[in-house]
Amino acid sequence: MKNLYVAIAALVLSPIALAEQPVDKRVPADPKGEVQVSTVSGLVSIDAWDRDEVQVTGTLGDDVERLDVETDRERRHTLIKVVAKKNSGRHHGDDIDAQLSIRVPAGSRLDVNTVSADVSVNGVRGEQRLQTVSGEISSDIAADVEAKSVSGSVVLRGDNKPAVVTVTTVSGDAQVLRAAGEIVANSVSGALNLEVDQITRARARTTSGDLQIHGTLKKDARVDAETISGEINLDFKETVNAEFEIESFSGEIDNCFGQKAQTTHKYGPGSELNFKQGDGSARVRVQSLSGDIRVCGK
Amino acid sequence: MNSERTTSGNGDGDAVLRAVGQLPQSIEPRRDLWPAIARGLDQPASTRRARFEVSWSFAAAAAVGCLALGALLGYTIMHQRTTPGLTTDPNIAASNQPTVQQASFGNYAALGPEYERARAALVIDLAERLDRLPPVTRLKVEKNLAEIQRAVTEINAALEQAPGDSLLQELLMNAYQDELSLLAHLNQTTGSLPART
Repeated sequence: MKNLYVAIAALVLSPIALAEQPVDKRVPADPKGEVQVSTVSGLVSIDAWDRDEVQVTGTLGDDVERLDVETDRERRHTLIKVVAKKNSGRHHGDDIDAQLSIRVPAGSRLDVNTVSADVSVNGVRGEQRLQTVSGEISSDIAADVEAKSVSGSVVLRGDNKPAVVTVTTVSGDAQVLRAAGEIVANSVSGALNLEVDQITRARARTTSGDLQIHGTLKKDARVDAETISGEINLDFKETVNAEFEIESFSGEIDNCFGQKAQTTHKYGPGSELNFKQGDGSARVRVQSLSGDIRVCGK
Repeated sequence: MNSERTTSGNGDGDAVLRAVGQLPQSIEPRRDLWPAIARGLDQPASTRRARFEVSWSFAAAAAVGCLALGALLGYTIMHQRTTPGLTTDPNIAASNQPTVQQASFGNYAALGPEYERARAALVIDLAERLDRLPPVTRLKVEKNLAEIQRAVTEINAALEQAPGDSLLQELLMNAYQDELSLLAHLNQTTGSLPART
């Protein structure tokens, strides 16, 4: 009987193994060129290396017609595109899965679009534009990064060097670690957890997701944080020199700098808190409909 | 990787989409909010450089911006026709007293028909494109559209308690902006997907 199960398992699994097409392609590339990736399903893992070429290895599902890896004459633009077979993707269960491991020159700029594929980027120093519908995004921040996800989570890791980071999610959570400079983050129901040092400008908004910003403010920094029903937690690590404008229609305001919120409506629940901390050179504006707000720092 | 091809959420989705289509189309700005909207819509493109091709997201955001601008212009025209007082009640108007604006969907449905048509087209297009998404993703999108709709409803309810509250007006405007941005984003991201059967 045991042998029968093994035989059945082998019969079931063997077409999957046979369906995978291995790929290994390599093209020359400018060390600071743009690499564009487009795929529908699977995994895209991009790693930097010190060669002036782009290499793509991995496996393609049975419903993938081909993998295009092309570069222009100047080698400044490399296109990596998974092309599905005609009519594939029209039925659930189509095997258009592509597991791609891509190596690019470290200074490359990235433009990645996927649908049901996770995106992982390591060591790339150029600008990045990463977009996926239902996959997860994970990347380092070395230059400006724009990451968009509909239902997957986003994790961006910086090294405290200034950059412009833009994160947009719908339901996925976003976590930004060790960023610096400017950040723009939006989410509907996903939580935003932003760790940004030397903030010059931060603008974050959620509908129902919680929002946390941890970091330090540069002189003349501008922070705008807004939510409808999520909670907002701002925690500044170093001495704060900022003017605060905090307002909530029905949420509670908790301020560990000491000042107490004032009621804004005689008969309603609204409250606001305006105060200056230090020389007030930066400006922090926080507002919510029903979400609680907490501001803390030195 | 998310495996999102196993369940279907289309039943609730149609109801949600119908509900989205019935959303109120306007708000009551007390000042020109367009510059803030424009900044918000342009923000995602701030990390792009000219080296990247002009993206659909930028085009979509611009289109959304035009819609929003049209909305505000439409509202302004309506506003000018009814100012002062914003009420059509002749008894109140004749009293020469400050009138209280009702923060209801009715009062906020003062935008022009062009805006409503354009937005309706965006929602119809969205329904077609949502069909191309993996079912679980589609369900999440629908839930989040409903989440924004719930936020709009909550803000409007709050406006009934506190008419003219500038915080609520700003939150409402931003909620509409979020909805339009999400619709445009979905149109863009699903544009290249094959239709499902």
